[in-house]
Amino acid sequence: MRISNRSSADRLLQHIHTATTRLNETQERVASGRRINRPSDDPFATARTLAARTRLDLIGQRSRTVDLANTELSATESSLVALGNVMTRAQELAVQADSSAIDSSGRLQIATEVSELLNEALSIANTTHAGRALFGGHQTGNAFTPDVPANPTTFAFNGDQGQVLREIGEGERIPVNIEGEALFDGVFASLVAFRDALMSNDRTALNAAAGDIGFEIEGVLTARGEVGARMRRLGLAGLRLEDDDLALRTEIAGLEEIDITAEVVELQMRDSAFQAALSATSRSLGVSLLDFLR
Amino acid sequence: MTISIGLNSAVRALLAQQQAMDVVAHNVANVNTPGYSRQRVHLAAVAPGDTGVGNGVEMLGIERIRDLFVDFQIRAQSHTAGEFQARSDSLRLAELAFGEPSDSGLRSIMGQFFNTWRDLANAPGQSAARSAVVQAGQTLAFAANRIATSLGDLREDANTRIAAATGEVNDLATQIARLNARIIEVRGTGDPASDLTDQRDNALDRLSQLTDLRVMQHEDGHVDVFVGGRALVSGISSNSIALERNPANENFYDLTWTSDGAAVQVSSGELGGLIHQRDTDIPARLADLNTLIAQVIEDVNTAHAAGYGLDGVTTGTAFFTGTDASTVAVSAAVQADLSLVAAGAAAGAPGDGGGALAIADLQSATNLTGGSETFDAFFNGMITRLGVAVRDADNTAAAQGATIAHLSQLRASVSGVNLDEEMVNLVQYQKGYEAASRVIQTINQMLDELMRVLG
Repeated sequence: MRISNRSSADRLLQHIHTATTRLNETQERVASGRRINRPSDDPFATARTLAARTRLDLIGQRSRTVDLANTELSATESSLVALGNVMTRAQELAVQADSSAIDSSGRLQIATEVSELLNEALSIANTTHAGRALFGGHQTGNAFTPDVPANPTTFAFNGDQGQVLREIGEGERIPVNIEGEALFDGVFASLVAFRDALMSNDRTALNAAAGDIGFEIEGVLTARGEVGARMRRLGLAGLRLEDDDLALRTEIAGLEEIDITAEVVELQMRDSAFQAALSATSRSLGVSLLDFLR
Repeated sequence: MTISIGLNSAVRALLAQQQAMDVVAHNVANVNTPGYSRQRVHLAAVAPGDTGVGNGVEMLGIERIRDLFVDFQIRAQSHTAGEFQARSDSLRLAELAFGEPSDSGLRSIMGQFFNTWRDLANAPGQSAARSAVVQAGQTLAFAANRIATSLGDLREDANTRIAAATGEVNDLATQIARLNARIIEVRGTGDPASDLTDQRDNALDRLSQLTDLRVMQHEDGHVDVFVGGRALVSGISSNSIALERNPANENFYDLTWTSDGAAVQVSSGELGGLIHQRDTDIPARLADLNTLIAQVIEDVNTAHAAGYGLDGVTTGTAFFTGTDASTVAVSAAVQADLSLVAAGAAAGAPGDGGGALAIADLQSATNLTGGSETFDAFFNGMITRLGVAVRDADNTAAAQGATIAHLSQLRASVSGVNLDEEMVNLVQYQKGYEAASRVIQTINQMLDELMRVLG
């Protein structure tokens, strides 16, 4: 093929241009550490990395939800422990009061302490966590209101049976509340009956109240068991989210990040190719018949 | 009279070598001129007269070395390269407008939007969570607005470039018609009009990058140029393309023939590529984006209207206003009163986050593409299609570029000047000139000798 000066210059320039472009591509990849900087770099890997990133964001949110549900259930558990203590103390007092060695004035003293226990139970029933009444279902505000605050006999429930659900997985929702009415109605009734029996010095009623208190203690323990089971389930969900998070991060890294060793070797090769193009250019541009014609 | 024949031949030889050296000089001078075709003198022996001795040399003409077939090929490929280069440029910009993959693009913003609803479901009573939902809604709306605007700007930009390219086509047409006239005139005098033809070939090359065209070569040297089956240049006269605003297409330009107002059929070249991106490539992306955003608006509003506000009474509120990517916004009423955000699923249950969860669940609902794709899947599909389109346009442009580079090499190998070759020619003609001078000198000495004998 006949070579003209212009075409050979053009071709040399083109080679240099190609070598520069290829060198630049590798440099960009090595510098940024990413093999996908825009969708056209690898459209299908881009679709996968986009989907993985969305799932990663979702897992972040779900982890927050699991943490929140954990604190809510912990708060519920503490309340139940406190309630259990109140009821156990009431049971001790019932045993103490059911003795022939105690007279009516002694029972009145015990009644004062039972009134305090009743107040304690009420304040536990109205516990809030982050503005939410733990035992009020879907209603806000105090869950229970006593009829006469100083000497209550009945407690109105202001909440509802609503389950407070936390979404910890796709379609997987876990309740973080214990239904307040079912738990506390009996507690309040048994404590009021106990107090009234003490005040009226009625041993038959006292015995009946002691039986009710024992039954309510069982109810509190069942609720604690329920909360404990849910917390274990949350723990498992948290671990699964951590596993998913790691798997997704690995997938994204595999899709988006370069294999640094391979890229650096490639960079070396392309750099050599670039220098070879430059040296070939300098040699062939320097040669002319003019140098030899005298 | 044989001595005078010898002298005549020698003089012709001097003139011929001189002219040949002039051509070498012209070639050397144009070694770096783009589109220059090297020229070659054609020398021939002059037939002998009565004596049977030849009459020396004469110059038959100067030939322009050019391969017309390669020209044809280059022009046939140029318009595809021009078209895909233009399309690749604009698709790359569309790719930039979406800015994926990143944690700040529409995908991430849309994911965050649904996640703030989940956060709200966990704390339906907190105004901070309500405010976060409204903020995320606004961010989503702004992102959609911004991309829609960028895509609109790309169309606007393509339109401006169409106007510029059309102007260039018209200039080139006028230039080619004028060169046609001069070539016909110069060739009438017997000159091949090489340099004028080079200029016209340059104009034709550029024109073939701008649009797909057909060139017809005529005996007298002029060319006719056809675009979309109609004559752009016919002999020494040229038609031109006018720009007419089309109210049915956002007031963008339609191309019409100035002569009769008929539509110009341009399907390729830079001009065709620009029209394609303005009227097909970019609108397709915009349509996808609008489909997505319209579905988000519809689904979120339906779910939101079914939920209840903080008072547990207000229901039927719309969260978004607008109908597509450019008009979407968070409803002014919701922005003004955060308690309208419908986090509750049932009346009279202000501590319930079921309504917010119902909206968050939309993220996995398959309401797009005939009920087969979620928002995310649809968006990822859009980005993949865009990526594939950019890569295809890039690859086609690069492949065409390589073909043209190869053809240009081929053309240069025929038409380009090689200085070494010219130097060899120069030495050759110089020696010829010296030898002819020596012949004249010798004949002169012979004549002197003869005169001396006679005198």
